[in-house]
Amino acid sequence: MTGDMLPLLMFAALFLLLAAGVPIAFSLSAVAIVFSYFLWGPGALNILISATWGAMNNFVIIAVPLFIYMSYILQKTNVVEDLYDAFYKWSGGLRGGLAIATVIVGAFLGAVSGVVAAGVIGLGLIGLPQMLKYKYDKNVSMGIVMASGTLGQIIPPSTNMVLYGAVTGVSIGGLFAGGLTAGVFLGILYIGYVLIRSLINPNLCPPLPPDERASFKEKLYALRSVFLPSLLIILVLGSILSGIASPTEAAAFGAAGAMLIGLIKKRLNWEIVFSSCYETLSITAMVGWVMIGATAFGSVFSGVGGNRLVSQLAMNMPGGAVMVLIASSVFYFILGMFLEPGAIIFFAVPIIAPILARLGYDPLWVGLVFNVLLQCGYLSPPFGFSLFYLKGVTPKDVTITEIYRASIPFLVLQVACVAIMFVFPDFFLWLPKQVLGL
Amino acid sequence: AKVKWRMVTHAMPGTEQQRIAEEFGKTVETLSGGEFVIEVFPAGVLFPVFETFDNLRNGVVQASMVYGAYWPGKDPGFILTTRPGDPLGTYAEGAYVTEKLFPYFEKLYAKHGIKYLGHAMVSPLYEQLMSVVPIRNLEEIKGKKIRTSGFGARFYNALGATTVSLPAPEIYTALQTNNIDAAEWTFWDENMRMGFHEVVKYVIDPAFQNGTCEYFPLTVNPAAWDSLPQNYKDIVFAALDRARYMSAMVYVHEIKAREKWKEMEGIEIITWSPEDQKKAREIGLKLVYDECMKTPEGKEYLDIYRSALWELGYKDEAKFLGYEEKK
Amino acid sequence: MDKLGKMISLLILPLIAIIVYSSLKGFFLNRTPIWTFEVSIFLFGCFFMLGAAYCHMLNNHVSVDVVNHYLPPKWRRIFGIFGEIVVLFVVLVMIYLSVPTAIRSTIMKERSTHQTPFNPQVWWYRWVIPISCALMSWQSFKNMMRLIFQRPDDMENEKGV
Ligand code: NA
Ligand code: NA
Repeated sequence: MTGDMLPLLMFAALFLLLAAGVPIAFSLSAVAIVFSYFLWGPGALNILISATWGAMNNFVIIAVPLFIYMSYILQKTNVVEDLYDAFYKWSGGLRGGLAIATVIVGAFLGAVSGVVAAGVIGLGLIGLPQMLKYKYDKNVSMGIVMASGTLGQIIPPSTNMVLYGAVTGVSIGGLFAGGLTAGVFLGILYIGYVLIRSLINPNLCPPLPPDERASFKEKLYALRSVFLPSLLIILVLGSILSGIASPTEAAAFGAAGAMLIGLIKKRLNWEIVFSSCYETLSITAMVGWVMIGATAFGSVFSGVGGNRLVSQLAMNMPGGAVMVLIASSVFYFILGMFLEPGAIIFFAVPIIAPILARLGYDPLWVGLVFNVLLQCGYLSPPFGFSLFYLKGVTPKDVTITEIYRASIPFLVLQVACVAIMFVFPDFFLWLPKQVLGL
Repeated sequence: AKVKWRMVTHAMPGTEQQRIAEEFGKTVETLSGGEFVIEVFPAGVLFPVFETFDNLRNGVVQASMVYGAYWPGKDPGFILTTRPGDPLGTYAEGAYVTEKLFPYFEKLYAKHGIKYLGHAMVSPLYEQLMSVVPIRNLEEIKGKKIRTSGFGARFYNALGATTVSLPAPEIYTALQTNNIDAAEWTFWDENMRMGFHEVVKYVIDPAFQNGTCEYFPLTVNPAAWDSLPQNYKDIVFAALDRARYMSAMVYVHEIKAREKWKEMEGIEIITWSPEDQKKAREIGLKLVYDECMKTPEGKEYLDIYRSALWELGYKDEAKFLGYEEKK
Repeated sequence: MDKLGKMISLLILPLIAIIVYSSLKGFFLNRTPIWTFEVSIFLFGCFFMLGAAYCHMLNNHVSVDVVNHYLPPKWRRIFGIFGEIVVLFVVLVMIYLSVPTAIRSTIMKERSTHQTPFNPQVWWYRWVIPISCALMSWQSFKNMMRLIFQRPDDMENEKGV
């Protein structure tokens, strides 16, 4: 067996364990253990402990439990319910109005944190139950939650873009500006998709029946419940923009602010405070251990040259610059399915990005395409972190197959976005050029 | 290949530092006719950088080039990797002092089961401090919120600033939103890679938090090292010397980057008055002196350091550190 | 495990409080407390590590249930036992690896790698790994016993859960 086959063998082993129903975190870790032991000897097993210690010392992912806790509090004090009720009343006869609300909330969560787990789970707790309550199609609802929750990856601030900029020398401000463009564009794509589909199928995302629609007075009255959540968004975003808090710290403001709103509304009680703790713990532990497994798996995978193998395959594509670009996009996409973005940025990007730059592509544009592609990896079956995170907060009777099915239309939209970026690069580079004064 | 090693660095891929480390690996491979291969991994690919110490010891990797200033948590002796207030300004001076200090670091690493083979790179020039508010003198730094770490944090505290810890990817946003007033990272070129020129308005040059210090120590797992045949060991030292030559060239790289910073509109380079520079250095050197006096090893370190300063003509600083002229 | 998990989960409250306190103090009084950065990291690490067993008890470690869904109860049970074996394997290996690390750390009185002026001792934090894994292995062992000794009709009853 040649060394080149090892990365493939690792995937095969991972798939077997996953198919047997072994929890994802432990499938990843088990493969890392077995491969590091047989390739590098018993000493190398410590990679797993390093991955664990790394997660235990990672300040940035503290945002995960903070956002989850905030979401639980908002959900249990019915603040979210009021908010969605108001949206529902205001959207009147419009089908799919709540999906718009969900995309917007997702974009705001993304503007605070770049940690995808926080976005998807937060939105899964806030938006999903509300959409289901109003008889929105389960597939569409879950899809919109995953897609919008993942937006934080490209809407600034984004840790991955900072890393990408540092590795390639591309302007981080430019990436942020382009990410904002791409993020908003994707959000609009998602909204457009839901609106069109519900236009065709009246039962997909039903509006209020005509006789139950709210009068203008009722609508105004409902606006009251929008006030406090909006204040929360202002508090969280404001704490970052005013320099009071770093993005991670802002998540704590979100959690504290949610409790404050609950107090103001006189709905917060000890039962809610505590049960939110319990549920936050369970979800965070799941996320944390998946991260440990993913890091250990990614380490061994990079160590045996998997990343490099894939990059070289892309570079050796016949057919000139365009083929190299397309092939590397495809391979980024595939790598994104299995690895944490950080690992890909550090290992595959330094190989491919300079070559694309030499072939004449704008490095900033390549960086944007790359970051959107990484985002697709979160959503692509069979292995995508957003899918798993959503599974963590949906009722037990929702199978992963349903989640896979829900993700596919949105994955197609993301790929469409990449295709549009290929055809109209100037559209996505406009804002970065303004920001950088080019 | 007969022997295969893995080596990790603290450098980001694409940086000059990482290139030096990769050249080191290639040189070993070439000189051994392809029989001794060292695969070089950038920061965080195999494991978080801060795990290097344990993993080198455990043999997860056989070699590393990772900044010694990360390890005061393992042994307080590593705090002396950096020297706030240090007056050395050139690569050659830095290399000279680092080689004089070889026995100190060899012993220190050996205490923890790691073999130290010497520096692959000394920091090329004075460090900088980047800020969003003007800090034109010692007085203005008081009360500023500065992102820094290690000995540098103690130094800025001593200057009257508040210090905070921030993970690297969050520094950019923190500067952008004025969450912090200033930050130190590395030098001109790498600071630009992290995009800091997009969010700061001022650069204080020189700053005094580190001094010219050892930046890229080559450390190896003793068992792996001992099992190498002598000719491979010789090859490693030859490759190390080549890395040292290349690291001297980093100086040029940094100077070019400095010129780019200077040309940027909206960036002002601030240099403190000679009086304030002297005061800042003395505050830093006082910290170094106090730290050295804590242990017998520290006193040995101090002896080596201040003699070298004296020899190189930094007589005031040497005397400040208690150097006594030999009659 | 239920009670223990619930106690661990309360760590989130001081975590929120500390971070909010720290950034407010830093902003308004221009004095960021030196200890909050690391203490919040400790709270977070203990939270999600020690919570793993509680999460496992609730069967909340996400898995891909594509195949399981179509299996007859008997095979589902066999795969369930296999899953627990893999979990046990992982956490036992982790205990085996992390205990020597923790001992070495304790002997050297290891301090933080974050290089803050606070510079707390972290050797005790190293022990969180084996303790979490021990809790996990106990929970996994209990799950496995239940799967092995459970009667088929109990299985049917549990299906709705
Ligand atoms: Na973001
Ligand atoms: Na995927």
